[in-house]
Amino acid sequence: MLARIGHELYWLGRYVSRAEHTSRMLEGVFAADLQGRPDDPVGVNLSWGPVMAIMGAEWDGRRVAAADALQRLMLEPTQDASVVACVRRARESAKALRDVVPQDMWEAINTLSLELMAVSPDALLHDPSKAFRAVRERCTLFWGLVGRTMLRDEASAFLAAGERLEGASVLLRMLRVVLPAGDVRTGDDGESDGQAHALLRAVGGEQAFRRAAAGPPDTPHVARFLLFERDYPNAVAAHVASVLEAIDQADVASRSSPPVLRLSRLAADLDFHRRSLAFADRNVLVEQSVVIQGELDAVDRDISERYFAGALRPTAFSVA
Amino acid sequence: MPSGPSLSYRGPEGIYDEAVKASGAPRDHVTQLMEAVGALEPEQLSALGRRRDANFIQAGITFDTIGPDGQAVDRPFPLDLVPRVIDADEWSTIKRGLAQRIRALNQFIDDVYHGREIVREGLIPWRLIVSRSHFARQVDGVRPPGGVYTHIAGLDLVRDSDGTWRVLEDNVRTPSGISYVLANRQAMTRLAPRLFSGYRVRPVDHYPQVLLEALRAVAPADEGEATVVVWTPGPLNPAYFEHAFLAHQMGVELVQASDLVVRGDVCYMRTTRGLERVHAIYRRLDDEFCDPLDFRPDSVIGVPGLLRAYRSGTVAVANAFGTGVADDKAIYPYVPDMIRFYLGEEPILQNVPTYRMDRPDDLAHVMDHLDELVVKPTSESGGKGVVIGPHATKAELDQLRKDVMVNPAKWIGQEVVKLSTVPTVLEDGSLSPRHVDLRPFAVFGETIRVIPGGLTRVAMTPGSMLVNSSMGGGSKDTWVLESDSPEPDPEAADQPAQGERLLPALPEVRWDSAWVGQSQQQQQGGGAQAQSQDSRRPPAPVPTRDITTGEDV
Repeated sequence: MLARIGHELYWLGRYVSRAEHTSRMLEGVFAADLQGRPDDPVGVNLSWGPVMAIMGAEWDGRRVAAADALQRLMLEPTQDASVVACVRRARESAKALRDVVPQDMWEAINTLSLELMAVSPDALLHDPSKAFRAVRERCTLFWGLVGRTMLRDEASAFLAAGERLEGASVLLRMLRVVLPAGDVRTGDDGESDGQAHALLRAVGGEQAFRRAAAGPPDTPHVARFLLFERDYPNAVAAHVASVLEAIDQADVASRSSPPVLRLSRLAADLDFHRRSLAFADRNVLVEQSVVIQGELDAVDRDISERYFAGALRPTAFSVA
Repeated sequence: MPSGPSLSYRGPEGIYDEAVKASGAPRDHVTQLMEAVGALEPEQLSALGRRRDANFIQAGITFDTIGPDGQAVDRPFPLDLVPRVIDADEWSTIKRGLAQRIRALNQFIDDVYHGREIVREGLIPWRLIVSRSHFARQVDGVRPPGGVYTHIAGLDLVRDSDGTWRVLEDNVRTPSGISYVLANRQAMTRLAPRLFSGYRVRPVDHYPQVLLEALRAVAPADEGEATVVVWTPGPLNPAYFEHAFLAHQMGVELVQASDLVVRGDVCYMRTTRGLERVHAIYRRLDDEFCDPLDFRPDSVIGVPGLLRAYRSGTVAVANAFGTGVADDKAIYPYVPDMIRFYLGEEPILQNVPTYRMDRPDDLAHVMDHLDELVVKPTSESGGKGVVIGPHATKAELDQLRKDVMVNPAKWIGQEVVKLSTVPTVLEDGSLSPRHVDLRPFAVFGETIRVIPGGLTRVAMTPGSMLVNSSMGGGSKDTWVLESDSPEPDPEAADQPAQGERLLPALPEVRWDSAWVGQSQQQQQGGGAQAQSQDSRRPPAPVPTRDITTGEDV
């Protein structure tokens, strides 16, 4: 397969995944913000300001209006981290790949792009759930079609690698921002607050967390769950394992492949930390997130180097 | 007795109609077709037309035109429902004529960049050749693998008022339109299978395979199968549909400049498994954009070093660099002489009578008869800058006169050809004569193979002779009928059995054993003159232009 095609597929996966996760996060924040507890900042820091920070904007700690944040992160095509911009770029990639990806997948992305363009700022503020649902459903449809219609070859492997790497990357960003590091008081009183719930909801993992019986829904438990729980598909450890699996499949000589080696090491580390950090506080967890994020950036570079002839795109989010 | 529109169909006065004789009776080979078309009510015909448009839009076989409001509109590719029929004998002449002409052109290109015998013989002035904008001094002395330059040729043919086929233009750089030939045939078999009954029409859908074989045949691969790629300038090119279509049909990669890289003297493509060697490139862009090191330095869609690889014979490029010198309009008048000079044969297909403006007599004649002739700028294609005397205003003619006098050698004058007509379905389902031309496609690998039929372009405006799609032209499925006496290989147009010779001079091969083998094979197959004139000719890439030319279908 041509390196350019592989690269495009990888980024198609990343764009769709980014749009999906961003929209899910906005949905969670929107719900949390409605019943916010600004006087009780213990636990996680989930409101529009931190969200802007997650998305790469400068945030000075002041309150950010919901309308403003939603509009910028959802519908503003000039903000390259906004959902609509991601979908648009995904559409462009899919267009360039029309003879590689099945027609239905192209249609799913194209329809989503048209649907988002039809949403007006007023309508979004009035009832954002409609737009959230459109993104969630179309993206789910897209991944469903990947699973059902695409040949299990290099193409689907690069698509999956992009998807899962982006999933891990968004999640780590969230954890780094919403877990306030430093000398936050860590009493027993406020740990089990609604905000940790909101964080779970923002990644769509409420039910999984409860069923996994990973402990009380307080910040350290939720963060550990989202970092290390391999059985939960939207945890960092699961994403890393999936990227590893995909790349391993795509590589003819995976034993000597730098990205495969790096990913294997990372997966083993995560497995180990699951136990070694069973009682770690949030400072350790935030630190860990930074380390993992750095490793994933290195993986991205390794992948470009080995498969895409060094072609790189800026992986970081940014909004102005 | 059929009672449809075909009965009332008449060809226009003084013009050759391909379906009916002057008396109004259908010609022998189209009798059945006209009956079948006649059996359809006009409403049925227009309903078929709507179905066709819907199918084309669904399949994405469209092209952009500028609508009345100045906005680009996506229109279904205009296919007329009445096919054009060419009988076996006629086709056999065309086919041999094409093969002959293409062989001569190929020979001419080789000669231009090597011995220049035709110049020394005094047949074509060197001044004229070297001043052509597509003359590529970068490939002087470079002979491509297999000695083939014009791998893909699409010559434009027209029929005179007496029905004689004539060559209007040679396209040996990057002729386009073949994808529409295939799409048209497929659409016709689905839409109107009944029209085919009673006819044995030669298939066209093997073209991608023929092309792939030809590219493999010239690819300098010594072990295993040669890697062939189609090189497109990118998705914004108007002919991108065709590039993607051909790559897809051949089952090869569709590459862009960023996918190709030259290391040392070898061309590679970047794959997810590292660099993979490329042996043959079917490029769809012009010479001057192909390699910023040797051609235009500002080209961002070229591959640096490609020419170096081509020169050292490690990669075949189709068509070869420098072929543009042969399809220049100023060279066109000399093609019959080339055929006599190189092949020792009389041309089977004639040119349209042409005046060379560098000759004072011709120039004076053209100036006196501007309003009766067609005047074309050389080095242009796609109908750009062409002035048709009888249809031009006085102001246009005056301007033209001034332009020509500035540099007469940049222009040629031609007699107006009254293009033949073919019955064409109007919006209301009735039939009316419309002018057509024909672009058959030939592929030159080990032999020359001409794809039966080709792209018939139709001028949809009554009386108009402008067949370009951009001018509102349409197209027709073109049927070539099987002959009654079976031939061994109806498409190999230059089998030695037909008394035609292959290339007289083949490259002295110095790069690898496979090449030696191949050239020997060709030499034996060709029989005659197999000695190489110049034993130290490495094959070289020559840039051709595909970006702006030939996209007028």
